[in-house]
Amino acid sequence: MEQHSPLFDLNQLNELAAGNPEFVGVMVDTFLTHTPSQVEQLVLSFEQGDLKRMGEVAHKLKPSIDLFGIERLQTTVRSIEQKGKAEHKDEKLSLEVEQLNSVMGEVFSELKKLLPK
Amino acid sequence: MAVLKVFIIEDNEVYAKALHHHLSLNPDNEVEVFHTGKSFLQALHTRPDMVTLDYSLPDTTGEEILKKIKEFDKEIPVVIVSGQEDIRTAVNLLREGAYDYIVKDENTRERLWNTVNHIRENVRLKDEIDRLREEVNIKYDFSSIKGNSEVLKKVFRLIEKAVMTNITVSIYGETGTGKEQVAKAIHYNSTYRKKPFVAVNMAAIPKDLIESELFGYEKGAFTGANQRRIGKFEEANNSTIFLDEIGELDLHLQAKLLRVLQEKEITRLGSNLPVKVNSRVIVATHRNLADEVKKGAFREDLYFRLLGLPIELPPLRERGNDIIILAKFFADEFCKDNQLPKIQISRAAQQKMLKYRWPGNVRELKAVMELGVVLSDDGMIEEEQLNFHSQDGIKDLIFEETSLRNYTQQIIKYYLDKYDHNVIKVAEILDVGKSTIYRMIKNKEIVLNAK
Repeated sequence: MEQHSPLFDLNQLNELAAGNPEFVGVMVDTFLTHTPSQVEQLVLSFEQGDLKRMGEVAHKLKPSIDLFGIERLQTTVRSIEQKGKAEHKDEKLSLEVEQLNSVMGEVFSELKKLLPK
Repeated sequence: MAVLKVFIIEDNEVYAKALHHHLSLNPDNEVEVFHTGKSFLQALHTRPDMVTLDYSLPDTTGEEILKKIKEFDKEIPVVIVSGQEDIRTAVNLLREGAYDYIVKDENTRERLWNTVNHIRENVRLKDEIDRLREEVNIKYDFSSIKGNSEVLKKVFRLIEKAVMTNITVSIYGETGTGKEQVAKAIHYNSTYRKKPFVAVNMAAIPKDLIESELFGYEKGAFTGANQRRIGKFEEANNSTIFLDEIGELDLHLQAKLLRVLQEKEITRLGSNLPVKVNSRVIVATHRNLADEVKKGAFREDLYFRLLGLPIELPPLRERGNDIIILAKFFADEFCKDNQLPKIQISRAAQQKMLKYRWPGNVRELKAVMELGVVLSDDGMIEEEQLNFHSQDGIKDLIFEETSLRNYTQQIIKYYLDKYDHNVIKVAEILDVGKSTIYRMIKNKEIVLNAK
C-alpha cells in the first residue's frame, strides 16, 4: 500500500519557502550533501550490530525524512529508532533497514535530477 | 525594538537550514546555526537573546548545554526543539529552566514561531521596563524651563500647541537655554510619550559616523560592520527623534535627511531595501538657520521642511526675575541632594545675578548656584560667593547694541544702586563729575530703584 504513495513530497518545503524561490534548491542541495552518509552510517551500524548507534542515526535522520515528505519511510524510520534505542533486534529490522536504504537511494537519484546541472 | 539574536543548536544540517530559513523570515530575527555543542559554547559569550536546542547532539546532550547556558545567564530563554524524548527527560529539561519544549513534527513551525514572538515580546517589555526605570531615575529638569516671565510664558503656549499634533518643531536658543528640555516637554506630553525619546546631537558625533548613526547599517556594509545595527530614525519609529545642533550637519547629509523627511523612509547603509519610518521630528540649534541659508551653509529646502513650528527660547538674561526663581530652585535642589539645610540668597547676590549677562544661560546658573552653596557660610549665599565663569572679557560688558550714552547711563545706575544712591562715592569710583550724575538723575536719564 505504501508503495503507491509518491517517493517524496516537496509541498512542506515549498510552503516553508514563503516565496523564496531559491530555498527549495538550497534545501535539496543540503539534503544531498549530508543525508547519504547518514544512511550509510545507519546501515553500517546495523551490520556491525551496533543497534544503539543505529537508533541514534535514525533519530537524526527522522526530521529530514519528514521535511521531504518521504511518506514510505516515516513509520520505518521511527521503528528503527525505537528498536535501536531498546537495542532490540527482531526479524523485521533487517527488512526495515533494507527498505530505508533502497528508498533513500531512489530519493537521492530523483532529487539529483531536480538540481541544475 | 532591536534585533532578536537567535541561536539554533541542531545537528541535522537539513533541519537546521529549514529552521534558520523559517526564523529568518522575520527580518528582525538574527539567526545563527550551530551543529555541535562545542561550537555553540564558543559563541555563547556573544549573548544570544534566545536559543533553540536539539536534545540529542553528537558531542553532548541538551541537558548539559542547557545547564551551561543557565550558568552563563539564567535569563536567556532556551526552547527545546527535539524529537519525542521520554516524558521524564522533557520534565527534567523544563525543571532545569527550559522555556518551552517543542516536538519536531508538522506543527513545529507554527509553535516555534509563536514561542519566538512571545520571547520577543518579553524582551521588548523587559527593555521597556529598564528604560522606564531609567526615566524615573532621571530627574526631569522641567524646572529649568520654569519661570513666570512673559517671554517664557510665550514658550509654554507654543509647547502646548506643539503637543496637539505631530508637527515638526524647530527650537532656537543660545547654548544652555534648555532646548532639549523643551523637546522632552513636548515628547512627554504628546501621544508618543510612552515610546522612547531618541536624541541625537549632530555636533557630538564624528561626521563620518552620523549617517550610520541615523540610518543604521547592514552587516558587512563597511569594515567593522560585523552585525546589523538599527539607526536612530528606526529606533524613533512612532516616537520622537530630537536632532540637536542641526546647524552642524554638513550639506551632503542635509540632502539625505531631506529625502528621509520627504519620503518618510530610510535605507540602512549597505542595504537597498527602504524601511518606512514615522517619527515626530524636533530639531534644535543655537545658530540662526535663516542666516546659514543665506551663507549657503544650510539648504533652503531643508530649512523650510524643518521650520514647522518654530520656538524661540529666550536667553536667561532676558527672563528678568526668572533668574532668581531658578537660582533659588537650583540652590534648594542642591541642598536637598546633599542633605544641607535650606539656603538664602542675599539681596546683593540677587542684584549681581540680575545684572550678569549669563552667556552659558540656565546651565551656567545651575553651576554658579551649586558652587555658591558650597562656598556659603551660615545659610546665606553672598555676592562674593557667586563666581561667574564667563571668560569673554569685554564681550561680557557688551550685552546689547546700543549707544555709548546709554551704556554710560546704565553703568552709572548700576553703581548708584550698588552704593545706596551715594552720588559722591560713585562719582569718585567712575571718575566723573558729581554734577554730571545729578544732571542725569534730574533729566530722568537715570531712574533710580526705590531704596
